[in-house]
Amino acid sequence: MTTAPTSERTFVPPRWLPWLGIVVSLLGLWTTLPPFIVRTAIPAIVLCLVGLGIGIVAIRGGVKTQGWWSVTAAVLCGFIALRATEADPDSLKKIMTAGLLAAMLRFATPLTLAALGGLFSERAGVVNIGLEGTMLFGAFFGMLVADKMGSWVLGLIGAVVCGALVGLLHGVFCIHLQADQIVVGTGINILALGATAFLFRAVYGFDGSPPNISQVPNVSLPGIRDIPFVGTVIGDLNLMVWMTIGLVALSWWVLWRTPIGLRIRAVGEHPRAAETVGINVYGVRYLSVMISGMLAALGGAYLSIAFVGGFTENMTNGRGFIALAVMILGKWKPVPILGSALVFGLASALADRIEGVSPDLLKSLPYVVTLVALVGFIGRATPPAADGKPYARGGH
Amino acid sequence: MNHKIPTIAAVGALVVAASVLAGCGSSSGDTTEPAKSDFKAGLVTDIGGVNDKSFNFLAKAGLDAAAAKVGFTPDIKESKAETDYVPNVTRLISGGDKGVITVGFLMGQATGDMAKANPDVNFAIVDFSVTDKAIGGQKNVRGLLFKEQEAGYLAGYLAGKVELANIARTNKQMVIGAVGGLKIPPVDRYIAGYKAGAEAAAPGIKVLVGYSQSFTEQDKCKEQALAHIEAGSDIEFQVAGTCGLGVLSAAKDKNIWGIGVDADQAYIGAQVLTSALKRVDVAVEKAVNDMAAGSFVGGSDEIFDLKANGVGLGATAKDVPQGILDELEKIKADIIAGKITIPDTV
Repeated sequence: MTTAPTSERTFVPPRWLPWLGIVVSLLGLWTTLPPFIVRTAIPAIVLCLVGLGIGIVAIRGGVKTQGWWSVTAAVLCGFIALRATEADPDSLKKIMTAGLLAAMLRFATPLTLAALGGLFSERAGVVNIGLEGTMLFGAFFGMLVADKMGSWVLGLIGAVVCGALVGLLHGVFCIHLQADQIVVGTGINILALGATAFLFRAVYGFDGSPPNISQVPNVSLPGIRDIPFVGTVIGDLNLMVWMTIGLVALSWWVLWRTPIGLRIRAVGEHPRAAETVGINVYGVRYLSVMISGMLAALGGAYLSIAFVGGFTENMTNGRGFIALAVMILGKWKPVPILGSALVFGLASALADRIEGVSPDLLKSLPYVVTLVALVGFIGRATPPAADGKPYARGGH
Repeated sequence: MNHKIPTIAAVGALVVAASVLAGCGSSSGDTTEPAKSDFKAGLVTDIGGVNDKSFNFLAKAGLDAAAAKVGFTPDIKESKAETDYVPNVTRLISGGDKGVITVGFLMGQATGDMAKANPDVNFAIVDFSVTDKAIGGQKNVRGLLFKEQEAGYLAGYLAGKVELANIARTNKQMVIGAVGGLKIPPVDRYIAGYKAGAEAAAPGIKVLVGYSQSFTEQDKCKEQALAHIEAGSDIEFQVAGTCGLGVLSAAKDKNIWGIGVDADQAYIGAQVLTSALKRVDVAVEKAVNDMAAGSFVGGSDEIFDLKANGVGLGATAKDVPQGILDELEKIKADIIAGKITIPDTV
């Protein structure tokens, strides 16, 4: 994006220009929100149009990725600002709270875990459409073990083991049998839906999950808890939220700072070259899909034994697919994945809090954000080169 | 790519295994009881399944009770999606059922259509009126309606008095909330009654109302309840079946009160203040008994209210002072006597 301009381009926008556009649009949105609460959309629209203009200038000038971000931000901010000016100022004050950010973190946690799962698998060149099913398996077995053993620690271990086994199954089909990875992933999703519903009924019958399952505790931070705004956001989060943030950092470190991470990425970019230098392509891919399964299963277990304390059939309800979108939006990188999961989390948290708009419409907000994000950026998101391609060992 | 054929076979096997398991998961029924009667009745649940600890669970309990009395093996078909309603009813009828119970407002259209196509089968539908044009007063359908607003009013009145009394688990903000599943009439009748009751008990009280858009996903209801709790609510009424269990979970986490729905949910935990009861079990049992005895009357609705013991309040938490319970009894008598008019829409 920073290559030399052609002779026709007389203006080369600086790298920071699109960011300025985003900031201007956000400022525009902010005029309609607490503490300003301007009751007319004009300043917001003007500022968003400026942001849009800056974005277009940046795109024309060649700073495309960030330019698109700027355009998207302007459109979204303008739309939200228009809605916000119609809302009652009191209810706006109630929406923009610390609790909103806490809810954002809660929504983002399972998405981040599953998207990290997708990341490991795809970095090694195996597409994992089966994230949804793996999450569901994790949710069920996490709950089952936590209930039967009376310990959430064992529940999490149970979920991880189950996730590794599902990953192994995925691996056997995709790596050794070289099956179509999309078909196998879809098979796992259908299998999970049926198998967990069947087992749930077989174990718990008509009573559903028992009311007092051992749950992953919340971490109450003394001192921090009492700081006004910050305390409400991070003072009493579930242990798994912190674990997830740790796993994001760990994933980055493993993938970019260790030899095994380099091998995983090499296998995903050019398996033939990797094999030539002595890397066991199949071994690395098996390891990666199993890690993938473990992380996705943890995401499912968050839902069952950390958040609600029970299992219901199909409780993941499409989160595995949103996690795939999060991974793509995060460009197959851990920290951006966390960032895009937070965007989804914020959209979901907002949807629960805005009043006076059709709730059906609001609940579609996270999906609209997905579409806007993917349409805006997918062209610039490059998957690993060998992603989705089965590898025939020692072939020709 | 010389593995092609075994691969396809293996993937095929996986998919077949998956669909077989999926099939197992969606059907159930007690087959151990020997059938003694020629009459057979079955039940189609709404989305949410019979393990929802409330609505569908009660309907199944009612059918089971009638089946044990009459002597037949009950068929239960659970709907996973709205598109399952008609196929499930068809399965019951082709299995020889002469009585079909459809559980839930959302099944109105499916029930009307199937009743027209099968005039020799008797239907009873919970939460839907036969006067609605989806059913058009079909003579082989009985509507089982409840005055949820009366149970809601009692729950709301109790909540309002508990707020004023400032007992354990409450703050002083005078804010309470309700989380509904979908915005459909039976849900809104509960919530309308709850609001009216709370305002009667504690004028000026604020009642937050949210809808999770789901009767099954506990996490959605829990988030909705947490949003209310953040805004100061310290009593949350769940009107969302399985999903609403998430509301009770939020109440437990945040040390506030929750109010159960349909069934008596006091056993779920100490956070349950009371439950707004709706005796779906009583209504279903009666309808099936009538069908078996040949005394079934279709083409009209049967209304279950406080007077008929069709709705009411479940066990109340120990922290509630006796004075409030005495007042509740008085309110109950007033409702039965028709002295209190309760709105049925939010």
